[in-house]
Amino acid sequence: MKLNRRSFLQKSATGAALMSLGAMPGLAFEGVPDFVKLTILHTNDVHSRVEPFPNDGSRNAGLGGASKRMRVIEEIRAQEPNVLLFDSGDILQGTPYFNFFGGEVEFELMDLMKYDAATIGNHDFDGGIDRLAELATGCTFPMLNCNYDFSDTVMNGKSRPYQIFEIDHLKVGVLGVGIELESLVPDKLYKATRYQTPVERVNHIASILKKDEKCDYIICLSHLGYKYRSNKIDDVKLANQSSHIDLILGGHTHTFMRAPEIVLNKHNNPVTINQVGWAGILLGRLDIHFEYNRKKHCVTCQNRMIS
Amino acid sequence: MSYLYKDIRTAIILGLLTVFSGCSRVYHIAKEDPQTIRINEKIAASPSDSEVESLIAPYKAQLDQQMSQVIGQCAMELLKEKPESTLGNWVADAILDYAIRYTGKDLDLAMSNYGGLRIPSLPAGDINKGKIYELMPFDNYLVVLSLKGDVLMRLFERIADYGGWPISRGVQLSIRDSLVHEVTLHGLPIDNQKIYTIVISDYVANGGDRCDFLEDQPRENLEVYFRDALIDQVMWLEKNGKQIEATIEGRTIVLEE
Repeated sequence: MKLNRRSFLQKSATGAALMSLGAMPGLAFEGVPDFVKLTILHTNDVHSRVEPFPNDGSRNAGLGGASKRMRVIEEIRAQEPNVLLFDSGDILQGTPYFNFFGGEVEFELMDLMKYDAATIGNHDFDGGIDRLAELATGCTFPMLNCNYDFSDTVMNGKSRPYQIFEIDHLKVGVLGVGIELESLVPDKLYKATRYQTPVERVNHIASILKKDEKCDYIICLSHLGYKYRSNKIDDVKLANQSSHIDLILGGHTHTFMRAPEIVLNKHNNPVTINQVGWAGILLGRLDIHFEYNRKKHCVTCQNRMIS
Repeated sequence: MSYLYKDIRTAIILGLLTVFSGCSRVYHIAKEDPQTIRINEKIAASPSDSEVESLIAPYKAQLDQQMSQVIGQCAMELLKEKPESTLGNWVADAILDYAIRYTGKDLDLAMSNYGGLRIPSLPAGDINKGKIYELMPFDNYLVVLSLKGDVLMRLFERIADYGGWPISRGVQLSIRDSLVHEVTLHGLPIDNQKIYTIVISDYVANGGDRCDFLEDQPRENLEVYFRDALIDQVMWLEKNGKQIEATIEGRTIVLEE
């Protein structure tokens, strides 16, 4: 159901208060525009799908493929000023391209598409941690993870917990979080990597991004999985227990979400969760309009109404 | 969702009113527009295609070459048919042999869903890697399920309903009216209390092909693609001077109604 602003104001207890505060957009100030539009594009679990699915009559025949994804990304970049492109892990494994070339093609394509950051999925260890370290060193975008302690592995220093992007004075903090590897990935592949509890690590990094780095918007690239019935940590539980995270771009469960889901964090603030299936069949897009002002409130806010 | 959302929005606005009472400028999230773009044939060509295509081309050429690598020999044309077929028998035995080699355990039987095999026949002669990719294009993993006899019987009933699936040696299944008439393993009836180990794809083990009753059964993930197990088996046969072959031996029969 779509809820427009007018009906919201009429129904809401805060409507009158908002009106009386004089909801007028201010003029551009200190060279900083009043409004910034950020366009976030994202993929997850592309699983080495370099070419589209073969035309063999199977369900996904003809879908996906790097070439068409590149077209769409370029088209959006030509239209939008502030585009960030992310991947939520499991870049590797699934077609002979990975089996034969060990991830080279996938990472080169992501360089070509100018990915801004990616996180590490369990299958990204499939070529072994040494191979992952080579790929992470060779690519032009940062591999983000805040809960794998790599200090006793070759990955030490090859990934970072977070990255900050500055767009028109808007500071976007991006961090990465990964799934428990034990019993999911053979330990000979991840070696001495130590898994740390996602909630604590994510909240710690998010707090740095918010309080120390003064980020305006915080994105978590997650390979935990969307939702489990068990008590295993997932994106929904992470969102519930988080502080400062605004958006979780997920992966692992190959979930085709019909629309992003919004859940409340531990301070009752909304967190948006999205995931776009797998194999590069879909490209997720989220346009976020920010209003910059000195006011106590947002004048044009539709506060994350998902229509 | 939207109703819950009204409350959330009220909370945010009240929150903003209290929190940002100072005069520093802050960014408010005014609006979020989500959208999902399907990467399909409707997307028109663009100049960037050539950049991607030329990056892929040398790898693709090499891959096509790799796929043409001959890994073994097939002694005869194997056909995929119901209720039993030579191709089905070979595939089921191949994954059983592979899994026994891989785990070092004495596993009981193996099976594949009928739709899992994607070619009507495997030709006699040279078998290249690409042919095995055609036979099994899916990225399904092999798992070993530990099933109690009564759960295994449910699986046999499902197979009977489908009119027969590829099943490994030692099984004798007779089907009447799409139901199990009789089934034995190495000549013995299925013991409802006994635990049987079954090599199968994760697709079926995860509930695919209406096998949802397998979802929560104890399993060991072999972390190997079904396809890679078949390639390994063909190469193992070649190394041991053997060829791919199979016969119809009455593993599955359909009785007159």
